[in-house]
Amino acid sequence: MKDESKHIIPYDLFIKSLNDELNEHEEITLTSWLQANPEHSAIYEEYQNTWNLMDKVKDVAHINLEKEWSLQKNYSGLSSDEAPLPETFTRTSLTWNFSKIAAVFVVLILSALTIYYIMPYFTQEKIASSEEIRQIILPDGSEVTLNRNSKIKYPTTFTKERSVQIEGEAFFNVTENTESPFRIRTGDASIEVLGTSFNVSAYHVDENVEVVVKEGTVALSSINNPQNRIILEQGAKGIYNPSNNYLVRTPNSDRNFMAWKTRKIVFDNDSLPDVLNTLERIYGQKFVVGNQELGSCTLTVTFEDQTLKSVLKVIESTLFLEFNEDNGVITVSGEGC
Amino acid sequence: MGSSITGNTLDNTSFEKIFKEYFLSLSAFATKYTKDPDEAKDIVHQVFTNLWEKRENFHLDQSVRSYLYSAVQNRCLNYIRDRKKFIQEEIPMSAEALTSYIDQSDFMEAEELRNTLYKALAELPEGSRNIFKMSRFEGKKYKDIADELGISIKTVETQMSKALKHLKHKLIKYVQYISMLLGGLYYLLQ
Repeated sequence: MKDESKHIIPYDLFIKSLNDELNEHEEITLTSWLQANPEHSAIYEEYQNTWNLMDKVKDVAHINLEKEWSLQKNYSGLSSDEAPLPETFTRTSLTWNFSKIAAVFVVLILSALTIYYIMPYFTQEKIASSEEIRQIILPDGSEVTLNRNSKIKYPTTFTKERSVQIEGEAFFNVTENTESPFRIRTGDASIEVLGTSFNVSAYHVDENVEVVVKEGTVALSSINNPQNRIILEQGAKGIYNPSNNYLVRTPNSDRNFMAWKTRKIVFDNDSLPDVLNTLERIYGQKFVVGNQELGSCTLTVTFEDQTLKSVLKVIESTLFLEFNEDNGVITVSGEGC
Repeated sequence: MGSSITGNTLDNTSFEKIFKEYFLSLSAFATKYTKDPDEAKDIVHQVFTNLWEKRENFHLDQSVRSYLYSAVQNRCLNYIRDRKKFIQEEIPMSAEALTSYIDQSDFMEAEELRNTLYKALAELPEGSRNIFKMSRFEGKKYKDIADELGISIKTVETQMSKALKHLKHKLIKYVQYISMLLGGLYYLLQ
């Protein structure tokens, strides 16, 4: 690449020229700029080539490829729960450095062709996603429990490094292998482990990534700034905030962090708002508290493998409350405790 | 190059890969015949639907590329025949010409190149992508773009140079490859 930083480049004249919008005065200015330095015309040529190349996508620029693929899946009756992951999960392509251009033209062409042949380098990969909680065994034997509406992408065989991507929430039980680090990417966060079990929750790219460690040690870092990392040990919780790249380590205060997997919910003198928050997270049910006085109610009970309906029934009769569903939202009413 | 598919069967994953590799180029190809980009897309979807339905009979050792292009071409010719829309126009390509067309080495890279260009364009921020499309693909003058979007001509210019810089940066290897080819020809001719 020409080193553009050494030159003052009249981009505005470039694009006007490419667009045939130069007036006479501007044309003279551009011509004299081009003649001022032999590198100038080479720089201009690169922009001209870019402009000309783009003509090839003229007929397809309006197409949304992901949309067309989901249409195609409909036409072909392919299940929609295998939906492709968003932009952030695009495959890696190799980058090239053409700076060492040799003198022999034929050799250059040959090497250029070779590059084109190896460019479409894709790892064979699998994407699992589900509306139900699902257990997945990775190629190295590691177990992943995938929560509802979550996705995982992983290669069919692991190479040197075991690398997966997730969106949503999952519990990992990673097979120990000190030779091959296990990495999870989600949004801008990277989680590295050697062999352990932990819970990752990251539903949206712009939301906080939360990691709670059940056993072992986990490193949480930002992809943008890998030096910035925190080490999490058993019982710790790490939070990554993608908007400001902050990493925070706190003790895990949520004893129900794995309830979605274990189907066991423990409340121990928890306030009603905390209880409802936990239920909302586990069952995906929204609650509205009608009476502020209810905030003083506390609950101590353990549920094992219960449906939301039976959980609510127990709470109703323990705290003398009433739950009423309307339009997908449950309103809580009662006298207060 | 083409699709390296392991084994002979077309499964979910290889189907998606083939779809994403060829959809843009086949649509561009079909547009040459139909002149209507939406009809072109429909035709390409039909070809993929048919490919998936017949996947049992389909041997992937045969060239996926030539299968897809011939199937799209056949449907396009039927489309023209049925509509009698462009009957007075010359048909872009005969079957024999098509065969040599898809075997040409520069054509071998067409999907790859088109997908890369498309991706570079898609990565632009929406505002500057729109302005670039209006200028490059619709041939609109800066003044018209500025009027249409209710922004200043200066903003159009800024967004255009931003877009062009991004594209050049993303496509640098192709851009230099072209210069190299042109430079090489020049060298040989001298």
